Parts: sequence; structure tokens; C-alpha cells
Amino acid sequence: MATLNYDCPACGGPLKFNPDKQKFTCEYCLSEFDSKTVQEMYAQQEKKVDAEEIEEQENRARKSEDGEAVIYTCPTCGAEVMTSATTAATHCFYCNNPVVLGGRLSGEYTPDKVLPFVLTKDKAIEKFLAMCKKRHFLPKGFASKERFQKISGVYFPYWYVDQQKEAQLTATCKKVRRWRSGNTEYTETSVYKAERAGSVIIKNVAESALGNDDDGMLKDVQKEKMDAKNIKTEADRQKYNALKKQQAKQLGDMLNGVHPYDVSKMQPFAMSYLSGFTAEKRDLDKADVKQNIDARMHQYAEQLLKDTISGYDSVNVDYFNENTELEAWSYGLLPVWVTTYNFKDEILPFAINGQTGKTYGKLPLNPAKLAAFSALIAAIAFALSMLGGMLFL
Amino acid sequence: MIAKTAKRLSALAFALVLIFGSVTVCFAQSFTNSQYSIEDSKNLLTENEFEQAKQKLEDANKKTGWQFIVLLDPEKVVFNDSLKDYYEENYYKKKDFENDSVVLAINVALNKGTFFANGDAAAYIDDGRVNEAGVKLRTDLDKQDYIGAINDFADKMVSFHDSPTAEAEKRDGKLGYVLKHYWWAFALIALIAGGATFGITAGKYKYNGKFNTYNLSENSQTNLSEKQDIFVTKHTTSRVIQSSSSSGSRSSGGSGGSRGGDF
Repeated sequence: MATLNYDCPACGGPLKFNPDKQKFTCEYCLSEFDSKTVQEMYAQQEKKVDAEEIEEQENRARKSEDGEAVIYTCPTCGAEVMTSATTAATHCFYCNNPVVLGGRLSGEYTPDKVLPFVLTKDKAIEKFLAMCKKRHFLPKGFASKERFQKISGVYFPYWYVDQQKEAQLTATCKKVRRWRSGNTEYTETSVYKAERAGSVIIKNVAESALGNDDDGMLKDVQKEKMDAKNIKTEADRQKYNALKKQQAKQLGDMLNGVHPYDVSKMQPFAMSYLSGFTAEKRDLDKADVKQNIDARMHQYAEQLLKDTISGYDSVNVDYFNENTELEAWSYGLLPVWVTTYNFKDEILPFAINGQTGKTYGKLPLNPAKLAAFSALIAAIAFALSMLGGMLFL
Repeated sequence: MIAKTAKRLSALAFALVLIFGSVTVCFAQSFTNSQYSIEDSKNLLTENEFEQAKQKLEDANKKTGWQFIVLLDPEKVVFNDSLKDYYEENYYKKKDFENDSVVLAINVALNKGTFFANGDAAAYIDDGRVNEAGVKLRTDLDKQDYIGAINDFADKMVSFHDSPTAEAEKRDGKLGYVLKHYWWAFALIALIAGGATFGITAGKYKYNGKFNTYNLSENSQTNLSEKQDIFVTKHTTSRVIQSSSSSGSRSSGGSGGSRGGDF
């Protein structure tokens, strides 16, 4: 597996992308470099990695026994490190230096765009803890900074689609007018047929490009619950598959839950942005997500034409048709801070938008605390309804 | 001599007046204190019955807190028309009879009776109870059992007091009333509120964050090539609105509302 290190030209220490400064910094000599400089410095190496990758065709990649993990050699310390099949950037587990598995993001897997991290790790933890402060039913001691030191920055792959459509819509619309004369109320209903046609442009519709079979991000979670190696019986297999399905759903929910991103801030992809972070390559093709994208686009196009009908009390769509005229797909990496925590034998993933700080994930709950609060609300509701009863009954 | 005789005659006449006068006083029995009052102007009750009636009314007053007034063949009262005025003048305006009171009046000549309750006591007697007490008292009156009528009247009032009507419960204590009759509704509201709080909060913890955050208006553009709204039809419907009728309440003088019936 072709790997790449971004080392400081001044001292040879590892260069990492600093979200706060939007520059590459060396932790050892504190040198700072802008992304253009780093890209120029490492352009040759990145090309070489691409070439090596094509040549090697994963010759050196040894599939592990479960058929999903691969082994690479850390260019700094020479250690052999195992990663999941979709990991494109990580840290060496031995020397902790950032490593970019360049080959993973070459050829057809090269992202078009990348949105660099804006939130630093500390700020992400701060956002998380600030959110926890607003949650009053967390178990005691849960929201501590120490607990979330293992939070990691991950670039997740997404498909972004823009479409231009020609659409036609016919709807039955009603205007209702009421008035009173003496003790009679009149209701006049006027019915109209609204016809709309035109072109709609819908941009930046995103779908996660990380497949449900991926276990990269949640690999540790999976290993803690059940290792694929330990599957001996059919019951074990079913349990393992159910667990994977649950984790895949958690991952999918999480990746959709951290949206939206301001995609206007996306940069042309450069491998160097990944240095210091973990990155996942896409394992879903356009065809895999096209159905979802098309369904959403269809719904949005109908909504857009429907929104042009105004001044009525009700609008019922009778007919809608659309044809896609133009379509543009791009594959981008979006920044997410991810952490998992073990709570009462349940491993819960949590994600923070690496650009806006929006949080998403399941939080542990102290049921006794919530039950006491709910009982208090019930008592207040009882007292208030009783007061209402005394006033009105 | 003549003068002497005249003196003797006048003394005799005076003595006769005193004697007859005292007899007249003996015919009208009455007793009034702050808890109850009996006026037996025609001496319909024996002395013993009168004492029984006093005891009965005293007991009933202790049980109910209501003042009891029994008027047996009241003179100077035009039955029905001025009985309430009589009560107002002779009892309500006297300080001791400001409270809730129940009145029973029997007219022997007319073979008719009536009773009514004032103040909060009126709330304890609904139409059903008026009929119930009226039937009982009518039976006593037909038998000319006046002490029986007083006893039954007192017993009925005590039983009405002990099982108050919904209206009486409201007047006695709205809190007790609403709790007794609507506790299940309040409990249901409380259960829904508590359950919703638990469910919604637990849901927020389970799905902490918002889905469907795609901003369509920011990421879209619409260029219409055709836009027309064609009128199809119009129809009008009408309905008559029922005006809600207002209901008034009747009150009697300064003593508040009263309720009762004839028998």
C-alpha cells in the first residue's frame, strides 16, 4: 500500500492541518505553511504514490482473515499497521504520526472537493460539552473533558449532485370565503386549476458514499461486541450480521444527522488536507445512491413548482412530471469529529460537524432523573388542570 | 254600695280578662333560638310533641348547621304569596337567622304545606329532592300527623345534607367537588403530560440532532415558462347558526336564592 507522510521541511517532524489557522503546522518546530506551499512541495510525491498504486495494484496489500482489513507499512517507523478497507488517512498506532494512504484516493476514487476542518479538536470537545450542559438528564460525570479526549477527526465521503430539470405540474386549488348575514353563515368555495411548467435547478443534494457494509469507523465498536474471527456457529453469524446492520444504521444516521455544511467553502481536493486526520474513501458508486438521489430530486422539484402557487387556501397536486436535463455529480470529503463511548455495555457513537459544530448522536440517559422530572411535570399538570376545573366546571 | 258593687264587678271583669287572656296565651306555643324556631299558633302539637319537635330540630341543626324554622298554621300569613316575605321580615332580618336555613310551613285550613331552603342549603335540594320530600310530607299531612311531618322534614333535610347534590358540592368546596368527580380526567392529563415529557425527552437523547436539514430554497432556482390559473367553478353553501340562549337565575331578597316546593 502506497503511503505518504507530510513532513516539515524545516525539522522533519509531521505536518498536520490546523483547522484554527487553516494552515499546516509542525508540532515540533511550530513552523506554519499554507496549503498551496504544501501541495507544491508534495506534488511530486503524490504523483509518485498514484503511480505506485497503479503499479502495485494492491500487490502488497494482504487481506486479513476476515477479508476486510488491510496492512500497510508506516513510512516513519516501519511498523505494519492494520486498517479497514476504506480508510484513506489515519495515524500510525505505534509512532502516532499521520499517514495518508494515497493510493486509496487515487484514480476513480479521487475526491473532487474537500471541505477542510474548521473546528479544532478542543473546540469540538467544547461544543460537545456545551451541548451536554443543556441536557439535564445525562448520568452524573458523563460530560467530562477527559472522557472525550479520544475524539477523532474523520473526513467522510459524500456524493453531491446538482440537477436541472424540466417539470410540469397541474393542481386543483381552492379559495374559501366566509361571511355572515343575520343568523346564516355562507361559505363560497372557488375552484381553480393551476398549471405550471418550467425549469428547476437543484444543487448540493448530498448522500453518504460510505456503504452499509463498511465497518471502518466502528471497527473498535464491532470488535468489542464480537469479533468476526470468533464466529463459529450459525447463531453467531446471525448475531454478527445483526450487529453490523445496527452499526451501519447508526453510521448512516450519524452521517446524515451532522448536515448541513456550507459547501460553498469546499476546496479542490488535495491529499495534504487529510494529514493529521482520519479519512474514509467512498465504497458506494453513483449507481448505489442514484435511486435515493432521484427520489429526493423528484420531491424537491415538485415542491418548487408547488411553491409558485400562492393565494389559495388549499393546493392539491393532480399531475406532476419531470425530466432531468442536466446532471452533475461530485465526490467530496466532509469533516466530522467522531467519538464513541461505552455506557452500560452499550457503545454509542457521536458526531460533530467539523465545520459548524452541529452535534448528532445518541446520548445516555439517567432514567431515574427523567422519571422524577416527568412525575413533577405530571403533578404540575394535575394541579393546573384541577385549577382549570375549579374555574370552568 | 253601688260604687262598691261596681268596683267588685270591675275587679271580677279584670280577673276574667286576666284568666281568659292567660288561656289565650296558653293556646299559642312558640320557641325561637339561634338554631331553630317553632311557631305553633293553633296549638296543633301537644306539649309533649312540641318538646319532641324542639329536640328533633336541635339535633338536625347540629348535624347540618342549618337553621330550622317550622311554622304551623301561621296567622297573618297569606300562604305561598307572603310566606317568604314573612320569613324575610321575621327571621332573615333578625341577626340570628342570617345563615342557611330551611323552612317548613303547614296550613291546616287549606290542607296544604310548603317548604323551602335558603342560602347554601338551597343547593342541597334539587327538583328530585323537592318531589321526594313533598311526597313524604303530603302523607303526613293527609294523616294530620304534624309531629310526623316535622320529624320527616328534619330527617329529609339531614339526609339531603349528608348526600349533597353536585351543585351543593360545588358551593361547599369547588376543590373537593372537582376532585371527586373529575379526578380521572386530571389524572389522565397528568399521565399524558408526564408520559409525553418522558417520551419526548428520551427521544431527544436517542436522536440528538435534526434530520432533513437540506435547505431547498437556498439551493434551488425556478424559472417558469408557463404559469396560468384557470377558474373552474364556484359554489356557495349556507348554514343557520343557532344562537345560544342565556339562562337567568332567580334570587329572593337579601338572603340569596331559595329552592323548595309545595305538598
